Amino acid sequence: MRKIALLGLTLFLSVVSAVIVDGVAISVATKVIIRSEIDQRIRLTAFFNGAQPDLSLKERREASQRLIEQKLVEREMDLGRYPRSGPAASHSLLAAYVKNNFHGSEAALQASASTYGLTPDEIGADLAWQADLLTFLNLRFRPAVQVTDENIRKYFGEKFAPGLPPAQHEAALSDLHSQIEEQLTTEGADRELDAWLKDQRKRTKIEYVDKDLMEPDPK
Amino acid sequence: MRHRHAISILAVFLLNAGFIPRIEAQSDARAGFAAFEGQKIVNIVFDPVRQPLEGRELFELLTVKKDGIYRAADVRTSIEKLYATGRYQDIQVDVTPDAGGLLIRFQTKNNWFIGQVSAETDLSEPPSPGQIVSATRLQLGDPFDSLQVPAALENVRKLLIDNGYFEPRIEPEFIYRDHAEQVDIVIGIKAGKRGRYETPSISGNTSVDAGVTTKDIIKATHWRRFLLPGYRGVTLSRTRSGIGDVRLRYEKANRLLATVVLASMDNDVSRNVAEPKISVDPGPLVTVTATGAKVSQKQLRQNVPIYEEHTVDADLLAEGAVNLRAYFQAQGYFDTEVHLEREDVEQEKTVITYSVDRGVRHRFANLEFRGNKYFSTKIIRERMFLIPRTFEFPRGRYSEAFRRRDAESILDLYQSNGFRDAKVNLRVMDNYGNKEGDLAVYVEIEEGAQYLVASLVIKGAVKLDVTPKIQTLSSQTGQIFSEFNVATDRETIIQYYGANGFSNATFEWSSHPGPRPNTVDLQFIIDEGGQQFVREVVTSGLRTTQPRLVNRQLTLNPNSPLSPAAMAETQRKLYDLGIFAQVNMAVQNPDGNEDRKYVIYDLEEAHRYSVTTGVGAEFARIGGGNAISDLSNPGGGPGFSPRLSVDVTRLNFLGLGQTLSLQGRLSTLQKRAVANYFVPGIFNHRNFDSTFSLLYDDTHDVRTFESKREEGSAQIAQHISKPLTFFYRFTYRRVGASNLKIDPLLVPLLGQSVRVGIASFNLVQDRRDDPLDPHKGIYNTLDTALATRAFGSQTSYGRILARNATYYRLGEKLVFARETQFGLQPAFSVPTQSDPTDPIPLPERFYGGGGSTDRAFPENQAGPRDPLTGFPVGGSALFFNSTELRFPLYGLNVNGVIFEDAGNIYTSLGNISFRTRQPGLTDFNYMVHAVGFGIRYRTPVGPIRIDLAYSINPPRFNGYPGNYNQLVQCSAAGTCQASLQQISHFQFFFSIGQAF
Repeated sequence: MRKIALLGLTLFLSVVSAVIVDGVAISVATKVIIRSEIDQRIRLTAFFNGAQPDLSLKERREASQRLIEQKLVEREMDLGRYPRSGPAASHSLLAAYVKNNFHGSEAALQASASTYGLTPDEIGADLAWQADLLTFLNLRFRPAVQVTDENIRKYFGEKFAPGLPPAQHEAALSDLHSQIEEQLTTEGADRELDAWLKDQRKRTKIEYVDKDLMEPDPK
Repeated sequence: MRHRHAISILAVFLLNAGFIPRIEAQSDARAGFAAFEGQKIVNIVFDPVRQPLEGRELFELLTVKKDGIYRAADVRTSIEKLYATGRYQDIQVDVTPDAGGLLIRFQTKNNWFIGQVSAETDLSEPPSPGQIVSATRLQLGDPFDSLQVPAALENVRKLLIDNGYFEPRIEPEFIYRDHAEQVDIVIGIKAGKRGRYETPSISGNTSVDAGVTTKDIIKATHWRRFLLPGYRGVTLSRTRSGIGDVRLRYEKANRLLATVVLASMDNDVSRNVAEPKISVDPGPLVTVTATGAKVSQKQLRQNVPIYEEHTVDADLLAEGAVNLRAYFQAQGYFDTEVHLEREDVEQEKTVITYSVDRGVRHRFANLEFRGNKYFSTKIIRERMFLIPRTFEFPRGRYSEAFRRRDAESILDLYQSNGFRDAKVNLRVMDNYGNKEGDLAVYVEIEEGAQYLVASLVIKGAVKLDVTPKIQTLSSQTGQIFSEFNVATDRETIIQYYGANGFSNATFEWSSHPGPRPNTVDLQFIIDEGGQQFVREVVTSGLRTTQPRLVNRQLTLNPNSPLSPAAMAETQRKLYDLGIFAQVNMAVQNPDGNEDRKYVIYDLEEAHRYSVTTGVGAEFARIGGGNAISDLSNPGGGPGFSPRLSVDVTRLNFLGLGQTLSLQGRLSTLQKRAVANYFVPGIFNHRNFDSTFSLLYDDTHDVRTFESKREEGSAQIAQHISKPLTFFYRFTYRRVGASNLKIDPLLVPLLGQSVRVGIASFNLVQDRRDDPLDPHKGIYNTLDTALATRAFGSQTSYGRILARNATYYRLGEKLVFARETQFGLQPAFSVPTQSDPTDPIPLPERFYGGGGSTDRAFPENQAGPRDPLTGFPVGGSALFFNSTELRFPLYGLNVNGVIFEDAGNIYTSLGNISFRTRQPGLTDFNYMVHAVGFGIRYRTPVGPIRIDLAYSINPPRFNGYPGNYNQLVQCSAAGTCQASLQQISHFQFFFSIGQAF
């Protein structure tokens, strides 16, 4: 009897001492957002912005929403067989980042990353994701954006013309034409992406396993 | 002691109850867990122990490994991979520090998947259970989400209300099955009594001026009961067709723009009635006319699609102009111009006028080809719509649209055969041969060079060996290069990969100029994707069917590649059993990223009993001498025979797919009862079927006697190939003949019952394109049989009966068909108490003549006859030959036939003769010819056949003008006076199906 009691006690204590280290937070159709991924998202954002990571519930909710969008795009890229960055691209992007921001010193990157609880590989992976998002934007939405001369003139009239004498308008418009066109195309593609994400959120089954992460009801 | 015991019980209780106190990971978790990084993992366990994935597969997915080093990133990857399989709803991981390292536990909650969805109802159809299940939109094999259920039930409720069940009680039951994590959903429905329509209330303009009044609308719905007071029961299809019929009623009144909408159905639950509220707007009166040429209203309706589409818009009107132009061009007015005018005369009236300028009437006189070397003119013409004048098209078939289409199809033909630079021009020349209005078309072809494949490289085929398929590709080295061939190869390769479980394989190709002119180096690039296998085949829905019967049909086994083709093959085999009304199949968890998938077959068993009754009649030369004692008119006269039939079939007997059937026929000519027991797939081989039969038959189809047959038989059918089947049969029967209308002296010999034991082998080879109405192919049958004492037979004879029919197409529309039948039935011994001239019992002899053998005779009137009475007595040999020319007669459904039949039933093999003159009044061994004409009307069950034959040399014979008693008396006295009789020159036949 003593042995049974001892075994029971051991079991109880082992269960009590178990620590949940990770788990599913949100499911997005067949994709999943892991709890640690949300923290990582906050840390990465803070790292790139040079800010202190804020792991409050509000920030975690905000990060969750960004990750939901990321999962929706990843799912669409998988289904549509869009080109994705591999490990090699991730390394080269990281190398370029280190060159531009840490004077090429990997040790400096390592040191900076570790203060955020990150590894260089995680930073490289996030850079690769940003490149993938750009690819998706360019292939999926940019071709659909139509920028007319009228749009360009209107933009020029609103943003540049007020600061220029009327006599220089035509010449300036000619010089800025492609720059404005690019700007308008990018804005248009962003709008298309936002609309697409909104639509996908409606169509896709998004389930919050961690209910705390749900956006509070506006009312 | 007591206290310690209580503590241990508390610990166990807490574990079992799932109450697991944990230190939750808080927001700054990573810092807290950093201590675990780099520690050794001593064990990995799953909670619960039973997981939807099997052990080895499960641990292979994990990035964390036992005895490995703990890294938080690996834990996350492991969760992602497990979740991606689609088999989990939730996964949480906890870690317990232990003496030797860390214990990792994955706590999981598995997903459920939709299994069988069925409906148990008390209602009368519609809706059918299938419609109810379909309304749920719950798809077999998809992940089950309880949030889907309310919407699914609401859809069912709406369906029931639409079908007149206004207050249904719907109670779903969910049956969770651990095996394959399936949830079966049973939708229980108590619907009550179907409601009825009430007098519809109509809103909108229903004045007499609108052409359709309220009364007309109510009548058009057909919702009122026929000849009875009140309204019919509400059904969705009745409601829809009612509204559609009202729309048609407006269309009849030239209100083509009328809108008819069912605004609502006001259901009065207390009275169980529904009041339809119909809103109508007659719209303007639309008149369509044609000027400049005569076009009937019928032609306008056929060519202007506004009638078919029930709307008037610019596109449809323009299409009408194009169609009218084509209509006139088909009549030789190749220059026809059609202009459209639409005029809103007043608010309530729209006039649409097609102004037709036909121009000069042409004749498409000549079609010539120039420059075609690779393809013969015949091959090119087979693909063309343009036809120069023929008997069928006296002015030819020509239109600009046809000309353009033909140019494109000829170019396609060349390009798909490697002539990438080919050019095709169809040049038109008017006044051909200096004849005004005659048109010639010159097909000018510049073929150019044919491109060939210099080399073919296939990249990316790593996991699957594509060598066996390379030899079947169209784009091999040295073969023709064309995009068409590459597309064909793509299909071949993708199908091959699909059949081997690579459902996501992709194919791309590229080409570069080859080393020699007009050659290309071709490269196929395959992205194989992942290979998927069958985890297990799961069947559901079996109520009475034995699972082993279904299992025998499975072409997929665990661990075999997940092949859609093999899945469909299994589905086909299950349908072929004939015992399932529906076979749904699905891959469970279709979006889950797991290598091994469950394949699900959800089966709905068909009704086991079917009862078929039929009433019919036979009208032919069957009468005349039917009365037992009446010997007049042995050649038969027009007669009428009513018929009643009842068939009872029990499908899936014993749950083994076997069929038990009882068939009964009752008519003035026949009384027949048959019991059949059909066993498919004997010897564990689906190519062998067996049938056991018991038969009672009392027939008077050969009017010489009434034959009675009691028979038992066992047969094995062997399906050698699709067209070829062998039958092995043993039959034991007792046959007897009574009411014989033959020489009274022979009655004691031929009127006795005889036992016949006979073993037979039959062969059927059927290569016809359509057995009901063949146009090409071959049909052969061979029947060989042996009756001997060894089989318990009282008579010994052999039988060979061979039939060969062939069908040929002559041009596009004519069919030439021929058939030859040859039969031989030699007797091996002459038993006592038998006719020494032909010891084979009367009912066992060959009889022939009629609609399927020789139309010179009424049914079974060919061959030897009794010298005294003139009634047919059958023979021991037969030869028939028929030829037919089948041709279109009127429209698509009425065809004509001219035919010539020849042949007869002969006394013996040695008496088979091709002479055309009858040797004598008692000798019938000559060939009787008939020519004739027939009409065939095509129906889904085969053509209805009417044949009128003229017999060129019908037999003449002696008959006896009195009755049988008189014959007995005069026969004894030797004073019988024969009367000369002859089979009529004219015969007619009416039946279903071609003659052969």
